[in-house]
Amino acid sequence: MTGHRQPWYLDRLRGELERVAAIEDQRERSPTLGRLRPALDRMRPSPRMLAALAAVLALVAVVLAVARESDVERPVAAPQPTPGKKVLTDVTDVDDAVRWRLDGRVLTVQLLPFAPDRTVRMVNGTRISATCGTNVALSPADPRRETTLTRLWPAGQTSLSYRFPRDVSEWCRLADPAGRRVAFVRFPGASSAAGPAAGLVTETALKWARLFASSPGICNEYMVGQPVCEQMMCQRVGAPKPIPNCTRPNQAYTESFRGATVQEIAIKGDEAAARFSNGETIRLHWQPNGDWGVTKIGGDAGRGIFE
Amino acid sequence: MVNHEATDRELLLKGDAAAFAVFYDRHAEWVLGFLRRRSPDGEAAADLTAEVFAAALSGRRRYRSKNASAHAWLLAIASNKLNSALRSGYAERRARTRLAMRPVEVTDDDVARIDALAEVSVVVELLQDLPTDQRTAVLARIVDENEYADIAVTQGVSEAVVRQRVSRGLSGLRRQWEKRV
Repeated sequence: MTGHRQPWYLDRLRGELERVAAIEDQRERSPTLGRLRPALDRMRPSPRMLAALAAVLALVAVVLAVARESDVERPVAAPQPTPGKKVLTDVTDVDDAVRWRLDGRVLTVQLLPFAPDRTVRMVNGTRISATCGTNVALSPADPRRETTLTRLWPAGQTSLSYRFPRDVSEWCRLADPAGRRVAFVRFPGASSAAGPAAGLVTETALKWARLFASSPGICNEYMVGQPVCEQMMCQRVGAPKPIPNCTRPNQAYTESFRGATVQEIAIKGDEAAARFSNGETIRLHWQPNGDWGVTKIGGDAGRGIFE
Repeated sequence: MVNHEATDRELLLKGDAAAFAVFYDRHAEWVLGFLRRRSPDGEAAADLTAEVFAAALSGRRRYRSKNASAHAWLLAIASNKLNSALRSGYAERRARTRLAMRPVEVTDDDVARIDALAEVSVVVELLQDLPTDQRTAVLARIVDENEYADIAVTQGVSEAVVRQRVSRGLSGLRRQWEKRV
Protein backbone atom coordinates (compact mmCIF):
# COMPACT_ATOMS: atom_id res chain seq x y z
CA MET A 1 0.00 0.00 0.00
CA THR A 2 2.62 2.52 0.99
CA GLY A 3 5.67 0.98 -0.61
CA HIS A 4 7.30 0.31 2.79
CA ARG A 5 8.16 -3.19 3.93
CA GLN A 6 7.51 -2.65 7.62
CA PRO A 7 3.90 -2.15 8.58
CA TRP A 8 3.52 1.36 9.80
CA TYR A 9 0.71 3.59 10.97
CA LEU A 10 -1.19 3.78 7.68
CA ASP A 11 -0.99 0.01 7.23
CA ARG A 12 -2.29 -0.62 10.72
CA LEU A 13 -5.06 1.92 10.22
CA ARG A 14 -5.94 0.19 6.96
CA GLY A 15 -6.25 -3.11 8.82
CA GLU A 16 -8.59 -1.61 11.39
CA LEU A 17 -10.70 0.08 8.72
CA GLU A 18 -10.97 -3.19 6.81
CA ARG A 19 -12.12 -4.93 9.97
CA VAL A 20 -14.94 -2.46 10.67
CA ALA A 21 -15.83 -2.19 6.98
CA ALA A 22 -16.37 -5.95 6.89
CA ILE A 23 -18.68 -5.69 9.90
CA GLU A 24 -20.58 -2.87 8.17
CA ASP A 25 -20.88 -5.02 5.05
CA GLN A 26 -22.36 -7.84 7.05
CA ARG A 27 -24.79 -5.50 8.79
CA GLU A 28 -25.83 -4.03 5.45
CA ARG A 29 -26.49 -7.42 3.92
CA SER A 30 -28.78 -8.56 6.71
CA PRO A 31 -29.98 -5.38 8.39
CA THR A 32 -32.95 -6.87 10.23
CA LEU A 33 -32.50 -10.61 10.18
CA GLY A 34 -29.02 -10.33 11.63
CA ARG A 35 -30.32 -8.58 14.70
CA LEU A 36 -33.41 -10.74 15.09
CA ARG A 37 -31.82 -14.12 14.57
CA PRO A 38 -30.49 -14.67 18.10
CA ALA A 39 -33.89 -13.80 19.52
CA LEU A 40 -35.68 -16.03 17.03
CA ASP A 41 -33.35 -18.91 17.82
CA ARG A 42 -34.20 -18.61 21.48
CA MET A 43 -37.92 -18.69 20.81
CA ARG A 44 -39.61 -22.09 20.65
CA PRO A 45 -43.27 -21.20 20.21
CA SER A 46 -45.72 -23.67 21.68
CA PRO A 47 -49.33 -23.91 20.43
CA ARG A 48 -50.38 -22.07 23.58
CA MET A 49 -47.96 -19.24 22.86
CA LEU A 50 -49.18 -19.01 19.26
CA ALA A 51 -52.76 -18.71 20.47
CA ALA A 52 -51.73 -15.92 22.86
CA LEU A 53 -49.90 -14.12 20.04
CA ALA A 54 -52.99 -14.32 17.85
CA ALA A 55 -55.06 -12.75 20.63
CA VAL A 56 -52.53 -9.93 21.04
CA LEU A 57 -52.49 -9.26 17.28
CA ALA A 58 -56.29 -9.09 17.20
CA LEU A 59 -56.21 -6.59 20.07
CA VAL A 60 -53.61 -4.48 18.28
CA ALA A 61 -55.78 -4.46 15.14
CA VAL A 62 -58.73 -3.10 17.15
CA VAL A 63 -56.58 -0.38 18.73
CA LEU A 64 -55.23 0.65 15.34
CA ALA A 65 -58.70 0.91 13.85
CA VAL A 66 -59.71 3.28 16.67
CA ALA A 67 -56.58 5.38 16.33
CA ARG A 68 -56.65 5.57 12.54
CA GLU A 69 -57.47 9.27 12.40
CA SER A 70 -54.51 10.32 14.52
CA ASP A 71 -51.21 10.37 12.68
CA VAL A 72 -49.30 10.57 15.93
CA GLU A 73 -50.84 7.44 17.34
CA ARG A 74 -50.34 5.31 14.28
CA PRO A 75 -48.02 2.39 14.89
CA VAL A 76 -44.59 3.92 14.36
CA ALA A 77 -46.49 6.34 12.14
CA ALA A 78 -45.64 4.36 9.02
CA PRO A 79 -47.79 5.20 5.99
CA GLN A 80 -49.90 2.35 4.74
CA PRO A 81 -48.79 1.48 1.24
CA THR A 82 -51.43 2.24 -1.34
CA PRO A 83 -52.04 -0.72 -3.63
CA GLY A 84 -50.28 -0.18 -6.91
CA LYS A 85 -48.51 2.94 -5.68
CA LYS A 86 -44.73 2.87 -6.04
CA VAL A 87 -42.47 3.72 -3.09
CA LEU A 88 -40.40 6.48 -4.59
CA THR A 89 -37.46 6.62 -2.26
CA ASP A 90 -35.98 4.66 0.61
CA VAL A 91 -32.67 5.96 1.92
CA THR A 92 -30.76 4.62 4.91
CA ASP A 93 -28.31 7.09 6.35
CA VAL A 94 -25.80 5.15 8.43
CA ASP A 95 -24.06 8.32 9.56
CA ASP A 96 -27.12 9.86 11.19
CA ALA A 97 -28.65 6.42 11.89
CA VAL A 98 -31.87 7.47 10.20
CA ARG A 99 -33.96 5.80 7.51
CA TRP A 100 -35.90 8.11 5.21
CA ARG A 101 -38.85 6.76 3.26
CA LEU A 102 -40.69 8.97 0.83
CA ASP A 103 -43.92 7.52 -0.50
CA GLY A 104 -45.39 10.13 -2.78
CA ARG A 105 -45.73 13.13 -0.52
CA VAL A 106 -45.61 11.17 2.72
CA LEU A 107 -42.27 11.21 4.45
CA THR A 108 -41.51 8.66 7.16
CA VAL A 109 -38.42 9.14 9.28
CA GLN A 110 -37.24 6.19 11.31
CA LEU A 111 -34.46 6.13 13.88
CA LEU A 112 -32.33 3.03 13.43
CA PRO A 113 -31.52 0.82 16.43
CA PHE A 114 -27.95 2.13 16.61
CA ALA A 115 -29.00 5.81 16.64
CA PRO A 116 -26.83 7.81 19.04
CA ASP A 117 -28.35 8.65 22.44
CA ARG A 118 -28.04 12.33 21.60
CA THR A 119 -30.37 11.96 18.60
CA VAL A 120 -32.88 9.91 20.58
CA ARG A 121 -32.89 12.53 23.36
CA MET A 122 -33.31 15.33 20.83
CA VAL A 123 -36.48 13.90 19.33
CA ASN A 124 -38.17 12.12 22.24
CA GLY A 125 -41.33 13.96 23.27
CA THR A 126 -40.27 17.03 21.27
CA ARG A 127 -41.88 18.94 18.44
CA ILE A 128 -39.71 18.07 15.47
CA SER A 129 -39.91 19.98 12.23
CA ALA A 130 -39.30 18.48 8.83
CA THR A 131 -38.31 21.04 6.23
CA CYS A 132 -38.30 19.50 2.82
CA GLY A 133 -37.66 20.89 -0.61
CA THR A 134 -38.53 20.44 -4.18
CA ASN A 135 -37.28 21.48 -7.60
CA VAL A 136 -34.32 23.83 -7.16
CA ALA A 137 -35.11 25.52 -10.46
CA LEU A 138 -37.58 27.60 -8.47
CA SER A 139 -36.28 30.92 -7.24
CA PRO A 140 -34.91 30.87 -3.67
CA ALA A 141 -37.64 33.31 -2.72
CA ASP A 142 -40.42 31.08 -4.06
CA PRO A 143 -42.33 29.70 -1.06
CA ARG A 144 -42.99 26.44 -2.92
CA ARG A 145 -39.29 25.71 -2.85
CA GLU A 146 -39.37 24.42 0.73
CA THR A 147 -42.11 23.39 3.12
CA THR A 148 -41.92 22.92 6.88
CA LEU A 149 -44.23 20.67 8.88
CA THR A 150 -43.89 20.35 12.65
CA ARG A 151 -45.18 17.42 14.67
CA LEU A 152 -44.75 16.02 18.13
CA TRP A 153 -42.43 13.03 18.19
CA PRO A 154 -44.06 10.85 20.86
CA ALA A 155 -41.64 9.66 23.53
CA GLY A 156 -40.43 6.12 22.94
CA GLN A 157 -41.56 6.08 19.31
CA THR A 158 -38.94 5.23 16.71
CA SER A 159 -40.54 6.78 13.64
CA LEU A 160 -42.82 9.56 12.54
CA SER A 161 -44.59 10.50 9.33
CA TYR A 162 -45.22 13.84 7.71
CA ARG A 163 -47.77 14.36 4.94
CA PHE A 164 -46.67 17.21 2.69
CA PRO A 165 -49.03 19.26 0.54
CA ARG A 166 -46.60 19.31 -2.40
CA ASP A 167 -43.70 17.45 -3.95
CA VAL A 168 -40.65 17.27 -1.65
CA SER A 169 -38.56 14.81 -3.58
CA GLU A 170 -35.23 16.66 -3.43
CA TRP A 171 -34.16 16.90 0.20
CA CYS A 172 -35.35 16.98 3.81
CA ARG A 173 -33.95 18.37 7.02
CA LEU A 174 -35.16 17.36 10.47
CA ALA A 175 -34.66 19.89 13.23
CA ASP A 176 -35.54 20.34 16.91
CA PRO A 177 -37.41 23.40 18.22
CA ALA A 178 -34.11 25.31 18.58
CA GLY A 179 -33.39 24.71 14.88
CA ARG A 180 -30.58 22.26 15.56
CA ARG A 181 -30.15 19.66 12.86
CA VAL A 182 -31.28 16.14 13.76
CA ALA A 183 -30.70 14.65 10.32
CA PHE A 184 -30.55 15.60 6.70
CA VAL A 185 -31.02 13.75 3.44
CA ARG A 186 -30.61 14.62 -0.18
CA PHE A 187 -32.65 12.08 -2.11
CA PRO A 188 -31.12 10.15 -4.99
CA GLY A 189 -31.50 12.01 -8.25
CA ALA A 190 -31.68 15.39 -6.54
CA SER A 191 -29.65 18.22 -7.95
CA SER A 192 -26.29 18.72 -6.26
CA ALA A 193 -27.45 22.20 -5.26
CA ALA A 194 -30.60 20.92 -3.61
CA GLY A 195 -30.90 21.91 0.01
CA PRO A 196 -32.43 24.21 2.54
CA ALA A 197 -32.11 27.60 1.04
CA ALA A 198 -33.30 31.03 1.97
CA GLY A 199 -34.62 30.29 5.44
CA LEU A 200 -31.58 28.38 6.58
CA VAL A 201 -29.09 30.84 5.11
CA THR A 202 -30.76 33.67 7.01
CA GLU A 203 -30.95 31.62 10.18
CA THR A 204 -27.28 30.60 9.97
CA ALA A 205 -26.18 34.16 9.24
CA LEU A 206 -28.07 35.50 12.26
CA LYS A 207 -26.75 32.82 14.59
CA TRP A 208 -23.23 33.40 13.36
CA ALA A 209 -23.57 37.19 13.85
CA ARG A 210 -24.78 36.75 17.42
CA LEU A 211 -21.85 34.50 18.31
CA PHE A 212 -19.35 36.65 16.43
CA ALA A 213 -20.44 39.75 18.34
CA SER A 214 -20.28 38.03 21.71
CA SER A 215 -17.02 36.12 21.13
CA PRO A 216 -14.77 38.30 18.99
CA GLY A 217 -11.69 36.67 17.51
CA ILE A 218 -13.05 33.17 17.99
CA CYS A 219 -13.57 30.79 15.12
CA ASN A 220 -17.14 29.87 16.06
CA GLU A 221 -19.15 26.79 15.17
CA TYR A 222 -20.81 28.41 12.14
CA MET A 223 -17.47 29.08 10.46
CA VAL A 224 -16.08 26.37 8.23
CA GLY A 225 -12.76 25.96 6.52
CA GLN A 226 -9.28 26.93 7.46
CA PRO A 227 -9.01 30.27 5.59
CA VAL A 228 -11.82 32.00 7.47
CA CYS A 229 -10.50 30.85 10.84
CA GLU A 230 -6.98 31.96 9.94
CA GLN A 231 -8.42 35.31 8.85
CA MET A 232 -10.09 35.60 12.23
CA MET A 233 -6.91 34.86 14.16
CA CYS A 234 -4.43 36.39 11.66
CA GLN A 235 -2.36 33.31 12.21
CA ARG A 236 -1.55 30.27 10.12
CA VAL A 237 -2.99 27.08 11.45
CA GLY A 238 -0.54 24.29 12.17
CA ALA A 239 2.57 26.44 11.91
CA PRO A 240 1.62 29.31 14.21
CA LYS A 241 3.05 32.39 12.59
CA PRO A 242 1.34 35.70 11.86
CA ILE A 243 -0.22 36.29 8.45
CA PRO A 244 1.35 39.37 6.85
CA ASN A 245 -0.91 42.40 6.27
CA CYS A 246 -3.72 40.80 8.24
CA THR A 247 -5.77 42.85 10.70
CA ARG A 248 -7.84 41.12 13.33
CA PRO A 249 -11.43 42.34 13.55
CA ASN A 250 -11.53 45.15 16.09
CA GLN A 251 -14.10 45.54 18.82
CA ALA A 252 -16.15 48.17 16.99
CA TYR A 253 -16.40 45.88 13.98
CA THR A 254 -17.52 42.83 15.93
CA GLU A 255 -19.89 44.95 18.02
CA SER A 256 -21.58 46.18 14.84
CA PHE A 257 -22.96 42.66 14.36
CA ARG A 258 -24.74 42.72 17.70
CA GLY A 259 -28.45 42.92 16.88
CA ALA A 260 -27.72 43.21 13.16
CA THR A 261 -30.45 41.83 10.93
CA VAL A 262 -30.14 40.15 7.56
CA GLN A 263 -31.22 42.60 4.86
CA GLU A 264 -30.57 40.59 1.75
CA ILE A 265 -29.48 37.13 0.74
CA ALA A 266 -28.52 35.58 -2.57
CA ILE A 267 -27.85 31.95 -3.43
CA LYS A 268 -25.84 30.64 -6.35
CA GLY A 269 -25.37 26.87 -6.45
CA ASP A 270 -23.58 25.78 -3.29
CA GLU A 271 -22.63 29.36 -2.38
CA ALA A 272 -24.68 32.03 -0.65
CA ALA A 273 -24.11 35.55 0.60
CA ALA A 274 -25.92 37.49 3.30
CA ARG A 275 -25.85 41.26 3.74
CA PHE A 276 -26.46 42.60 7.24
CA SER A 277 -28.05 45.82 8.42
CA ASN A 278 -24.59 47.06 9.44
CA GLY A 279 -23.60 46.98 5.76
CA GLU A 280 -21.28 43.97 6.09
CA THR A 281 -21.52 40.88 3.93
CA ILE A 282 -20.61 37.27 4.62
CA ARG A 283 -20.26 34.32 2.29
CA LEU A 284 -21.63 30.88 3.15
CA HIS A 285 -20.98 27.48 1.67
CA TRP A 286 -23.35 24.54 1.51
CA GLN A 287 -22.08 21.61 3.62
CA PRO A 288 -22.60 17.93 2.79
CA ASN A 289 -24.38 17.46 6.13
CA GLY A 290 -27.17 19.85 5.12
CA ASP A 291 -25.96 22.94 6.96
CA TRP A 292 -24.56 26.21 5.65
CA GLY A 293 -21.22 27.40 7.01
CA VAL A 294 -19.62 30.85 6.91
CA THR A 295 -16.49 30.83 4.74
CA LYS A 296 -15.71 34.53 4.32
CA ILE A 297 -16.42 37.71 6.23
CA GLY A 298 -16.56 41.29 4.96
CA GLY A 299 -14.64 42.71 2.00
CA ASP A 300 -15.63 41.03 -1.24
CA ALA A 301 -17.51 38.16 0.43
CA GLY A 302 -20.55 38.75 -1.77
CA ARG A 303 -18.64 39.02 -5.03
CA GLY A 304 -20.05 36.83 -7.77
CA ILE A 305 -23.18 36.10 -5.78
CA PHE A 306 -24.95 39.41 -5.36
CA GLU A 307 -23.92 40.80 -8.73
CA MET B 1 -13.02 -8.91 -6.99
CA VAL B 2 -12.22 -5.21 -6.98
CA ASN B 3 -11.37 -3.41 -10.18
CA HIS B 4 -8.32 -1.32 -9.33
CA GLU B 5 -9.03 0.88 -12.34
CA ALA B 6 -12.44 1.85 -10.95
CA THR B 7 -13.02 5.52 -10.18
CA ASP B 8 -13.31 6.73 -6.60
CA ARG B 9 -17.01 7.21 -7.13
CA GLU B 10 -17.45 3.60 -8.26
CA LEU B 11 -15.40 2.31 -5.34
CA LEU B 12 -17.38 4.29 -2.78
CA LEU B 13 -20.78 3.43 -4.17
CA LYS B 14 -19.85 -0.24 -4.45
CA GLY B 15 -19.96 -0.07 -0.71
CA ASP B 16 -17.94 -3.15 0.25
CA ALA B 17 -14.83 -3.50 2.39
CA ALA B 18 -12.49 -4.50 -0.44
CA ALA B 19 -13.49 -1.53 -2.59
CA PHE B 20 -13.00 0.82 0.34
CA ALA B 21 -9.50 -0.60 0.93
CA VAL B 22 -8.55 0.30 -2.66
CA PHE B 23 -9.99 3.77 -2.12
CA TYR B 24 -8.00 4.11 1.13
CA ASP B 25 -4.77 3.08 -0.58
CA ARG B 26 -5.25 5.81 -3.16
CA HIS B 27 -5.76 8.62 -0.71
CA ALA B 28 -4.35 7.78 2.73
CA GLU B 29 -0.91 9.28 2.20
CA TRP B 30 -1.93 12.65 0.86
CA VAL B 31 -4.65 13.02 3.48
CA LEU B 32 -2.14 12.29 6.24
CA GLY B 33 0.39 14.69 4.66
CA PHE B 34 -2.25 17.39 4.26
CA LEU B 35 -3.30 17.07 7.89
CA ARG B 36 0.28 16.91 9.17
CA ARG B 37 1.12 20.28 7.65
CA ARG B 38 -1.83 21.85 9.43
CA SER B 39 -1.66 20.04 12.77
CA PRO B 40 0.65 20.72 15.68
CA ASP B 41 2.28 17.28 15.52
CA GLY B 42 2.34 13.94 13.73
CA GLU B 43 0.27 12.22 16.38
CA ALA B 44 -2.56 14.73 16.02
CA ALA B 45 -2.42 14.34 12.23
CA ALA B 46 -2.60 10.54 12.52
CA ASP B 47 -5.56 10.80 14.88
CA LEU B 48 -7.40 13.11 12.47
CA THR B 49 -6.62 10.85 9.50
CA ALA B 50 -8.23 7.91 11.27
CA GLU B 51 -11.33 10.03 11.95
CA VAL B 52 -11.47 11.27 8.34
CA PHE B 53 -11.42 7.76 6.89
CA ALA B 54 -13.89 6.50 9.48
CA ALA B 55 -16.25 9.30 8.39
CA ALA B 56 -15.60 8.44 4.74
CA LEU B 57 -16.35 4.78 5.45
CA SER B 58 -19.61 5.68 7.19
CA GLY B 59 -20.67 8.06 4.44
CA ARG B 60 -19.39 6.21 1.37
CA ARG B 61 -22.80 5.08 0.12
CA ARG B 62 -24.05 8.65 0.33
CA TYR B 63 -21.39 9.97 -2.03
CA ARG B 64 -23.53 12.21 -4.23
CA SER B 65 -20.96 14.11 -6.23
CA LYS B 66 -20.90 13.50 -9.95
CA ASN B 67 -17.10 13.78 -9.81
CA ALA B 68 -15.30 10.52 -10.51
CA SER B 69 -12.52 11.63 -8.16
CA ALA B 70 -13.35 11.97 -4.48
CA HIS B 71 -10.38 14.25 -3.82
CA ALA B 72 -12.55 17.30 -3.14
CA TRP B 73 -14.94 15.27 -0.99
CA LEU B 74 -12.13 13.94 1.19
CA LEU B 75 -10.59 17.38 1.38
CA ALA B 76 -13.90 18.78 2.65
CA ILE B 77 -14.14 16.07 5.32
CA ALA B 78 -10.51 16.60 6.34
CA SER B 79 -10.95 20.40 6.51
CA ASN B 80 -14.06 20.09 8.65
CA LYS B 81 -12.43 17.63 11.05
CA LEU B 82 -9.33 19.79 11.22
CA ASN B 83 -11.37 22.90 11.85
CA SER B 84 -13.30 21.19 14.60
CA ALA B 85 -10.05 19.94 16.17
CA LEU B 86 -8.49 23.39 16.07
CA ARG B 87 -11.51 24.85 17.83
CA SER B 88 -11.82 22.19 20.51
CA GLY B 89 -8.16 21.29 20.87
CA TYR B 90 -8.64 17.59 20.12
CA ALA B 91 -9.69 15.38 17.23
CA GLU B 92 -13.28 14.31 17.50
CA ARG B 93 -13.99 10.57 17.68
CA ARG B 94 -17.58 10.59 16.49
CA ALA B 95 -17.13 8.51 13.34
CA ARG B 96 -14.71 6.08 14.99
CA THR B 97 -17.00 5.60 17.96
CA ARG B 98 -19.95 4.88 15.71
CA LEU B 99 -17.96 2.20 13.91
CA ALA B 100 -16.57 0.87 17.21
CA MET B 101 -13.06 1.27 15.85
CA ARG B 102 -10.15 0.29 18.06
CA PRO B 103 -7.42 2.87 18.62
CA VAL B 104 -4.37 2.60 16.36
CA GLU B 105 -1.24 3.55 18.31
CA VAL B 106 1.33 5.94 16.85
CA THR B 107 5.00 5.08 17.44
CA ASP B 108 8.01 7.42 17.32
CA ASP B 109 8.99 5.87 13.97
CA ASP B 110 5.53 6.64 12.65
CA VAL B 111 5.83 10.26 13.72
CA ALA B 112 9.12 10.62 11.85
CA ARG B 113 7.61 9.14 8.70
CA ILE B 114 4.52 11.28 8.96
CA ASP B 115 6.72 14.38 9.14
CA ALA B 116 8.56 13.27 6.00
CA LEU B 117 5.27 12.59 4.26
CA ALA B 118 4.16 16.16 4.82
CA GLU B 119 6.99 17.42 2.62
CA VAL B 120 6.09 15.07 -0.22
CA SER B 121 2.42 15.85 -0.06
CA VAL B 122 3.08 19.51 -0.80
CA VAL B 123 4.14 18.51 -4.30
CA VAL B 124 1.20 16.13 -4.65
CA GLU B 125 -1.19 18.92 -3.68
CA LEU B 126 0.43 21.31 -6.13
CA LEU B 127 0.10 18.70 -8.86
CA GLN B 128 -3.61 18.41 -8.15
CA ASP B 129 -3.97 22.11 -8.93
CA LEU B 130 -2.56 21.72 -12.44
CA PRO B 131 -4.88 21.28 -15.44
CA THR B 132 -5.37 17.57 -16.16
CA ASP B 133 -3.41 17.54 -19.43
CA GLN B 134 -0.39 19.23 -17.83
CA ARG B 135 -0.53 17.01 -14.73
CA THR B 136 -0.65 13.84 -16.85
CA ALA B 137 2.25 15.02 -18.98
CA VAL B 138 4.40 16.01 -15.99
CA LEU B 139 3.78 12.70 -14.25
CA ALA B 140 4.52 10.69 -17.38
CA ARG B 141 7.76 12.56 -18.10
CA ILE B 142 9.17 13.36 -14.66
CA VAL B 143 7.86 10.58 -12.43
CA ASP B 144 7.55 7.68 -14.89
CA GLU B 145 10.54 8.92 -16.95
CA ASN B 146 8.89 8.11 -20.28
CA GLU B 147 10.25 9.49 -23.56
CA TYR B 148 8.37 12.44 -25.10
CA ALA B 149 7.67 10.39 -28.21
CA ASP B 150 6.12 7.56 -26.16
CA ILE B 151 3.98 9.96 -24.16
CA ALA B 152 2.80 11.59 -27.38
CA VAL B 153 1.64 8.23 -28.73
CA THR B 154 -0.08 7.30 -25.44
CA GLN B 155 -1.86 10.63 -25.17
CA GLY B 156 -2.68 10.87 -28.86
CA VAL B 157 -1.04 14.26 -29.41
CA SER B 158 2.13 15.48 -31.08
CA GLU B 159 5.48 15.43 -29.32
CA ALA B 160 5.58 19.24 -29.45
CA VAL B 161 2.31 19.42 -27.55
CA VAL B 162 3.65 17.06 -24.86
CA ARG B 163 6.79 19.18 -24.47
CA GLN B 164 4.66 22.29 -24.16
CA ARG B 165 2.42 20.68 -21.52
CA VAL B 166 5.38 19.49 -19.46
CA SER B 167 7.01 22.90 -19.69
CA ARG B 168 3.85 24.74 -18.69
CA GLY B 169 3.15 22.25 -15.92
CA LEU B 170 6.60 22.67 -14.42
CA SER B 171 6.35 26.46 -14.66
CA GLY B 172 3.00 26.32 -12.90
CA LEU B 173 4.44 24.10 -10.16
CA ARG B 174 7.38 26.46 -9.71
CA ARG B 175 5.10 29.49 -9.38
CA GLN B 176 2.88 27.73 -6.83
CA TRP B 177 5.90 26.51 -4.89
CA GLU B 178 7.35 30.01 -4.72
CA LYS B 179 4.05 31.35 -3.44
CA ARG B 180 4.11 28.80 -0.61
CA VAL B 181 7.65 29.36 0.51
